[in-house]
Amino acid sequence: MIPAKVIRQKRLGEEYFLLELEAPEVAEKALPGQFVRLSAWPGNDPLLPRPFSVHEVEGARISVLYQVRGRGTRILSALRRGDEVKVDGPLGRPFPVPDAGPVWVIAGGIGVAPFLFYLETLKARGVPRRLFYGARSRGDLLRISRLARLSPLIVTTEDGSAGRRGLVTEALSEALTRERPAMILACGPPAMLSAVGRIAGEAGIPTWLSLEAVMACGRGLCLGCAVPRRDGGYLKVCVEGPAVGLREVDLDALT
Amino acid sequence: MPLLSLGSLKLKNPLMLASGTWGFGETLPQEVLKGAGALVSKGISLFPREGNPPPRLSETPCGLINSIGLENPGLSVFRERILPRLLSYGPPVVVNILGESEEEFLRLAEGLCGAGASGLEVNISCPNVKKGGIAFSQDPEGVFRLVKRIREVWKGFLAVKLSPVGPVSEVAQAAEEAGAEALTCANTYPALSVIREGKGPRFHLGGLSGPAIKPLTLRLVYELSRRVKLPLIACGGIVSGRDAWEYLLCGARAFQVGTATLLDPRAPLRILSELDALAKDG
Repeated sequence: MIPAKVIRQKRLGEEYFLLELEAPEVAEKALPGQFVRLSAWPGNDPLLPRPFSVHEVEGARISVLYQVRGRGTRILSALRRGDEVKVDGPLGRPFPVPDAGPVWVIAGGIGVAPFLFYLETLKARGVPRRLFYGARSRGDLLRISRLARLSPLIVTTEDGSAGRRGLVTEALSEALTRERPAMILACGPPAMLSAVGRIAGEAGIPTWLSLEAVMACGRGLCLGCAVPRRDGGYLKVCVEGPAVGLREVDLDALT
Repeated sequence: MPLLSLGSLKLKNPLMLASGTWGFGETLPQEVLKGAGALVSKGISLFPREGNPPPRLSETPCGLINSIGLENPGLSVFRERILPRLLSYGPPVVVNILGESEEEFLRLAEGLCGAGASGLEVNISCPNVKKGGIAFSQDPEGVFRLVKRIREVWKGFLAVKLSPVGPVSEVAQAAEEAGAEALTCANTYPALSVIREGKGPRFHLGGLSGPAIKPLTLRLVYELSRRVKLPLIACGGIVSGRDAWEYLLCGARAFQVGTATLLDPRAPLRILSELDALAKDG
């Protein structure tokens, strides 16, 4: 864990925040899909640093995009410019970046967090791409204008308050009747990942699912972040993921 | 620096990396591996174990409950492919072994003879299937027999890792009489947290570690140091040099660091340097 200064914290809605940190060692090494662990409290309560996808890297700065879900994220959300946090990373395997596209990226809710950095990388390498971004409602859509500059974008909301009404997986199914990407990469709630896995599996498209699990060490020491493997046994999200090939994952066990 | 003796085991410093908290060293900084007094391997069983389904972790105030389920690759993979790498790190390697019967423990001890490990740490917190699933740690006579039989086949350093619950001091005395050279005090505490999931509440049962248990295990070390002559290796919630120092004051000869390494992979080095500073201040 190394100290990092808060550059700014921006509230993006009722429960969403964008935290920008000065962390040159991390910024230099981070690749899209990797994560960091953050701790911003003295003492041992909460005990565990919290894992977050690297959302964006700009020079010596990294940012994380997060939703307040519990004590750790609530404490983080109170940080202000100049405060100090401890950061550990980058950790985990980067997302695969194919030479040829198109790559379809499927985001559900806060699952969009790792994709800004990823789409930026695809754009820089000239890989054709498209983002399917689903959320509950308009207020849950984050960084839309920035994302729209990086990639063609299809937005869905469950209440129809923005984009198309319905689930992001419905938009994916529909698009697959007309076109065929070279690769699909999805991040979002378990039910969404499971649905994406089934749809993409049926279509026979190489697919990666970015998983989430309660994590302690972030580097394969404790074997805590286990997710059932399709062929038996468990994969460890921190070192084998976060993104794991569809064939590795037991979709029934995700939900 | 003079070496520290725990029975036949010689350490360059009193810090040991606790079983199951540092993988097999793949992702830990080399300085941490090289800097430890000894390395205690993940628990190894006769055959591979795939471990428990998730959830395997839950956080509690100042603590961590785990139910990894002793996931490990089994004796032969460990001995052929993993142990040589652990030995290359430098510090003496102590292999934590776990069996569900005396015979399994004996085959593990025999299987590790001549493979280069300096010692064994016997995990007696597993259920003994021949005794209706009661843990070895609840049965002092069973522990006496187990340790005596392992002692007959294993000539190197031999430690017993105590469970903190049950007839702890009777078990400690039994292990001492049977020929153990040190006692690791202690394993995690049986604990439960109610976790909320999409479908409703769920009970997570596992072993509690971390700063939450330090005062409990500190008391246990204090009590045991008055009841047995064997050197004690403290293990329970050490996250600072001050914690380690308190255990040494209470009668421990060495100590293990576990949960702290999960929080920060460099924590063992920080703990050692904090302890050094405390020792210099007297």
